[in-house]
Amino acid sequence: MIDFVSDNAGMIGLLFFFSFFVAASVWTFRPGAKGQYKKHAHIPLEEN
Amino acid sequence: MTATTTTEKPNYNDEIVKMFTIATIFWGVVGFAAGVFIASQMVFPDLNIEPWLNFGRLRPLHTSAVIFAFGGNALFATSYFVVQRTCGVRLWSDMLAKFTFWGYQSVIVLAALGYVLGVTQGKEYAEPEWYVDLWLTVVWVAYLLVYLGTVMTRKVSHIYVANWFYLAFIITVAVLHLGNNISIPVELLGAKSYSAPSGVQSAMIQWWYGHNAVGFFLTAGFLGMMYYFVPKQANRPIYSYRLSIVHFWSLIFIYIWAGPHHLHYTALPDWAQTLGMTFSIMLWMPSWGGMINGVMTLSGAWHKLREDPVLQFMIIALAFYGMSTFEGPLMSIRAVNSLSHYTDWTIGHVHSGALGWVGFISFGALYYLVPKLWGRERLYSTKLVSLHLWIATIGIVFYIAAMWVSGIMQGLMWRSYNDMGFLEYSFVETVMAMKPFYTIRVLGGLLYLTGALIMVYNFWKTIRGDVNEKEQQLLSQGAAA
Repeated sequence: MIDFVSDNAGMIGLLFFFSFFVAASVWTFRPGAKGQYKKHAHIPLEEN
Repeated sequence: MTATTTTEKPNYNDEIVKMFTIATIFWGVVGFAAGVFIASQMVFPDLNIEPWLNFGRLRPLHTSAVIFAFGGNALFATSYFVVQRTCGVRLWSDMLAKFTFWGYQSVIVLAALGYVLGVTQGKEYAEPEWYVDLWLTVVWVAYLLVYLGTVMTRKVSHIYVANWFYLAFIITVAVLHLGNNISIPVELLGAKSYSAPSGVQSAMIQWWYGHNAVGFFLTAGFLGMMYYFVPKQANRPIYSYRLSIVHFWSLIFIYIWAGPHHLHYTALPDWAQTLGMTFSIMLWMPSWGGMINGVMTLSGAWHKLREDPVLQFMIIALAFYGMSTFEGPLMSIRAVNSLSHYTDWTIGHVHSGALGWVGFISFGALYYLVPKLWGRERLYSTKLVSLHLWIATIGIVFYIAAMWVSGIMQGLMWRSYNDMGFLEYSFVETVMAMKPFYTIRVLGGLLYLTGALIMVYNFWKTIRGDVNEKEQQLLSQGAAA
């Protein structure tokens, strides 16, 4: 197992980081979260 | 603990923000003045006063003063201000926050003393020797604790995007600092040390550090500033909160790989050079995504830009951010780099980012902060803000235009050879050709410094509580009409 990971560290790293990024982006654009993001965007405007 | 409702304003620690704000203004003037002085040394070599004040020792003094002293204190001030407001809670520890202030100022003084006395590791932007590095590590861990402690005790469930950028800045700078300063002291009673890695490995680690100092200190940190102060000054939410999240993750994931573009045509393996170049070009997208997000915050309220010079500072900062993040990927392309590297073009590029983006977004944030922190209704003079804005903008244009011409000329002179295969120009001929442009640069720097001094005067009057009768009258007339 550890030999496989160390032999293919580059590809595993690439797949891990790239899929994390794709998943985070897709998650951000999930439908139905629009209202929530609108609320988040107003956080600085609520406080003094 | 007494129950606090959400409508009640928490008792924020603004004392510490005030201290860092004053330190930012002070070190800004010192750093800009040092820049004007070393720029003058290039025109008038007699200004090199050996050994303490020669160019080689004052150059790191200038870069550290503007990046770490001015920029660093601005990040401390704004991050402590923003994290309290967006989390709805007081800073986690007053004592530790105060320690970060005095600790950080002592790091700056220790580093500066080392530079003029000739104590250096010889690594760009990481010049201080091990004793300062260790002390900075302690201060930085305290900073992380204060910030994380505040975020973890927050009253607002969502962590606002500005805090993500600030946290990425704090954590990554810690990693970079530790990674690039692994060295072995070699004297019992002296400061001398040698870097643990050597050769091309050492060079690669240095530019992994160096480029990410740009990416995480001068970009991510100041983007945190942008994501709070632009919406606040415009009184509008950020254009797209979704875009801000994608901006964050793409910037963080891509920036960390861009360093090898500093080592084109060196002993670094070609694949690593190509990797650095590719990631640098990819960086264009998150950079412009962030710029668009900031500028478009004014969408539907562009009239605010006409009336408010503080907002003008922030939007021009974003314009310079867009310009220098377009120029950067271009210069990272190996063929372009063969012309631009080691020339003044690089210096011009850095300054469009530093004077335009980092400087202007900080000035914008400072103009917002000072009246707020000292409980004044408004700045002493809005007209003087406008004057600062235009003098500084003209200064930047002088600076970068001079460096474009001088840098490209320098690169072309270095590479031209005659029919016999001999170099066309000797080195001193290129230096003589650059002299007029060095003079224009001094002028640009002087204008930028003058603008900063106007800001100091405006803040002095604002903090003292002086009222500008003329502008006050105009305001009340406007209100009546």
